[in-house]
Amino acid sequence: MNIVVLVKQVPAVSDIQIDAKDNNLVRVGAPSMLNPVDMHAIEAAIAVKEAVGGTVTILTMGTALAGEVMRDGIAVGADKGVLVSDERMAGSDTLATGKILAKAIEKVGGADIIFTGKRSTDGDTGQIPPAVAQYLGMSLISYAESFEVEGTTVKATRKNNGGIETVEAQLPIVCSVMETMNAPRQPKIRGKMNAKKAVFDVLRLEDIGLDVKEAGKAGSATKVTELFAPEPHPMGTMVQGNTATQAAKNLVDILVSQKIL
Amino acid sequence: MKLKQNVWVYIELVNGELSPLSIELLGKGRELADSRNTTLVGLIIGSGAESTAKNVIGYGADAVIIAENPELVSFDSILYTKAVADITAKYEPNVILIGASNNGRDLGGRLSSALNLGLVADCIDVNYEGNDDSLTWIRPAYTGKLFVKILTTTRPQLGTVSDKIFRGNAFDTTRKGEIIKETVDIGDLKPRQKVTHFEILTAEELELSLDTADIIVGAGRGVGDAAGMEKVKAFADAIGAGFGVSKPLVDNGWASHDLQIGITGKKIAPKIYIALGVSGAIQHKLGVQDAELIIAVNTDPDAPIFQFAHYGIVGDLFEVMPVLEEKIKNLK
Repeated sequence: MNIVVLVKQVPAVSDIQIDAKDNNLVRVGAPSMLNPVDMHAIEAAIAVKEAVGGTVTILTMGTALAGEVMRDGIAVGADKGVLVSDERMAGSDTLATGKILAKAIEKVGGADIIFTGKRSTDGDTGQIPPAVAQYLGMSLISYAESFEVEGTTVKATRKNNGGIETVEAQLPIVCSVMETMNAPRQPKIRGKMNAKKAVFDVLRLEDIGLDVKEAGKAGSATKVTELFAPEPHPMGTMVQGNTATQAAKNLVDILVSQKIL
Repeated sequence: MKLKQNVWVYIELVNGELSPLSIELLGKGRELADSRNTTLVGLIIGSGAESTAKNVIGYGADAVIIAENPELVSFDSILYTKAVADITAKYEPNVILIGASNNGRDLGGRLSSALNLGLVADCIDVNYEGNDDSLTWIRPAYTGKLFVKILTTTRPQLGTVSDKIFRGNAFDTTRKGEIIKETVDIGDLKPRQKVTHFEILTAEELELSLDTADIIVGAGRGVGDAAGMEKVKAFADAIGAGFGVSKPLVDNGWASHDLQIGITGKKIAPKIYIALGVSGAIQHKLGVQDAELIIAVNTDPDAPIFQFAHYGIVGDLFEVMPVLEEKIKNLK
């Protein structure tokens, strides 16, 4: 079983700083980390490998340093990591990114199962799993909370339309993983050592056979025209009190007098 | 009727009925079509398409296209993508609005790849701003601190739209419209997946008291740590309130995404929302602005949440909770 996990490097702080002058993201000095839910996608992959055998390949796209987050996956038992990195890919939207990742997966030998996290904390679109599934002609179970594979059939559950669906699908499949699916294991000493010395293959546009016009800004079909801050609402009532306790009492009195409580 | 270059809404059916989100999109779609003197078309696929077509017109469409093929009875993202792609190629709409439900996002992402189209996900607004046929899509960015305006350079313009943003029109039984049936050839494609079991969950099971609770308590970074968050949860339980968290707590791994209140989590509309230690980033604000009353407690007097809370207390949430708990319990 060829299992690929798509992961992403994201800013380590969710409280991203915005430069007030030009509304740009302040990236300088911002630490990076593995998109948190991706660890659950890696765990799902390792679990399938343990159950039915196979290899787990972590794959990411980004700058030369973006591959570092893949060490978290190697540390818990992933077999290898592949970094797709090329300055001509900078500025790719979901359309271009989906294409690049699909081509890269083909290049590393294809996949029977592709796991992803449900969303990234930065882009937060959730559009890469269906995009990759479409390019590769694969089934898709998004926002999955459980995942079992038996032969060529996958059985998974997902919340949808106010209930829980049990979905059966045929391999090959793309599955985006919710945090609720599993509890990621902690790395062991040996795993940490493997992670430390792991060397990742790097793929460029030529390696994956994608035309430069299909990557980066040239290959993107969306254009950000404006970044703007919302208008503030009118200021509300601040409830006073010498202490927070007193303020809380005053608040309840106000709510009662206004028949809110 | 002019059926090219118009506004389309992909209609999602849930148990054979129009989803609430589809009705919201028909409301917005009507507005977009009117602003360009064009028509609004609903595209329906699946079991229930025939019986709901009239409703799609009643909620604002001028015409309905029904995709017909026995394999399209229930949602399969590969087959539905093929159906939408083929019908789109024939009619060349200017825009397709898709609800950002789980299935809608799957369809949108596949459609973007299949037709090589730009896609804007989870939009909170969309309008024709200029004089040409370009739509300006707006979505939250950078964890919701800002909005971005995005154009798509391809046609049809494709976007998924969040729920509870737009209002549907009142149902008008007198509206008339054309119903067109299109047979879809899915070629060699076979359904590759099916829903074998569906279980409706109660509010408790879904932990979606977030949808239904009259009072919701939200925990933010001010809780300090996971143990602090648990104290807030206990407070919520004690006063019979629903419990949710802001995005940073989910990002920290303290709570699951199900509990996330905000535009990329769960949008809430309770009678009272009590935000404890929540700073009030825009992505959170957009998720709670439909609450009838917002109460905020935060140690930072400059926290943005005080700008949209109706009542605010500057202070330690752990001092405020016991007082509220006692008083509210007494009132009950």
